[in-house]
Amino acid sequence: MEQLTETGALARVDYGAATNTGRRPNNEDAYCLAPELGLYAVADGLGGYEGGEIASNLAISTLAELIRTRRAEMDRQRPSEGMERLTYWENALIEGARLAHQQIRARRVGPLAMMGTTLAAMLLVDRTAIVCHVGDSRVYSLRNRELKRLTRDHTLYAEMLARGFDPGEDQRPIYANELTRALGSEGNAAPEIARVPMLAGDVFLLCTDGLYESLRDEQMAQVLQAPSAQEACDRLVRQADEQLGMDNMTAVVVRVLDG
Amino acid sequence: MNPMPPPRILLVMPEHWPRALLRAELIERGYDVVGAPDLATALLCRPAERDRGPVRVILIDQDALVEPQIRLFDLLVSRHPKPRLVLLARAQLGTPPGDWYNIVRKPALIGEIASAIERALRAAE
Repeated sequence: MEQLTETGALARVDYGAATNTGRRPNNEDAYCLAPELGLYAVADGLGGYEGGEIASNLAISTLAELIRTRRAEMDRQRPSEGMERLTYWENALIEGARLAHQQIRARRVGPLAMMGTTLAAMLLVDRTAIVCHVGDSRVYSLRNRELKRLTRDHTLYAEMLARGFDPGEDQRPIYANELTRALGSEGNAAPEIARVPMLAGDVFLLCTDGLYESLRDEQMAQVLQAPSAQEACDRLVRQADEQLGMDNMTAVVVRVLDG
Repeated sequence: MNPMPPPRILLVMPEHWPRALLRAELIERGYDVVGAPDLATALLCRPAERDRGPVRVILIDQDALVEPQIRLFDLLVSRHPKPRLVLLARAQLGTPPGDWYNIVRKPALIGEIASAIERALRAAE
């Protein structure tokens, strides 16, 4: 069902979400639809690690709470200039990701000792989408039927390619499954931030690896042209499931009705 | 479950026998040791593993620092929380750039290399 939301200073958007456990015993993905905050996010609890489900939900709830607090603070203050406001919200996203990292680490004891999560979040501010991600959950945009990936995977495979070293197609699955950044991890948990100017008609897809690994880019581009965001989400997850996707799969779609 | 697992030592050495001997020597001294023949394989040593400590020392044989693998050097170092680096250097070549805590020149006895690693490990703790 199409849901239209007037979000004050935010763009008018249509949004939806869908998730599926795939062939896993439980769903360790989590997502957030908070149009009143302009916040949309997905998180993928680290596969095979106990507590992945807890970590992904903790990351989403911590980030949403932080953005909610900052929105309330902003409402009490005089509105600032555009660029300054964008910097403010970028910092809020970074702060939210760091706080989530700390919250997860504080709970990494006993059977939860190895838990962690990816995070891909998008905050709509004025006519800009601020994208924040850690790990291999992705954000795409569709403009004029052209699908563009807005995030760079934080995996060994992507980092190796970026350095001009290709381990070969047969080794790809091994390195692609190794995250170089994750919230709650021992290593790097630094979020990466990008600003994307928004136009009416733009469609954004936030998804976990279980979804994009089961579908080709052309398939995703075609489905994202569906008349409503929820229909696009349902079709994306159904098609990924029909490809016998093994992993949990989650899609959040945001359609910009006027930018 | 061990409440305080020992730190890990990562050995990156192309030659199998010297790597196996050094690993055996370090295990004999009570350490947790992982071996890899090249930098790409060494990347698969995870920063966090259940009941195993963090990687505190990485020993790299200079023979492993060759193109195109050398491009992965910074990625390997950044994957672990501030590891101490020990270089097993060739006898007559210049030292490659790196934040080396210890440099051991070939030819070296297995015991000498193990002791250099131990010194780096103590400094890291």
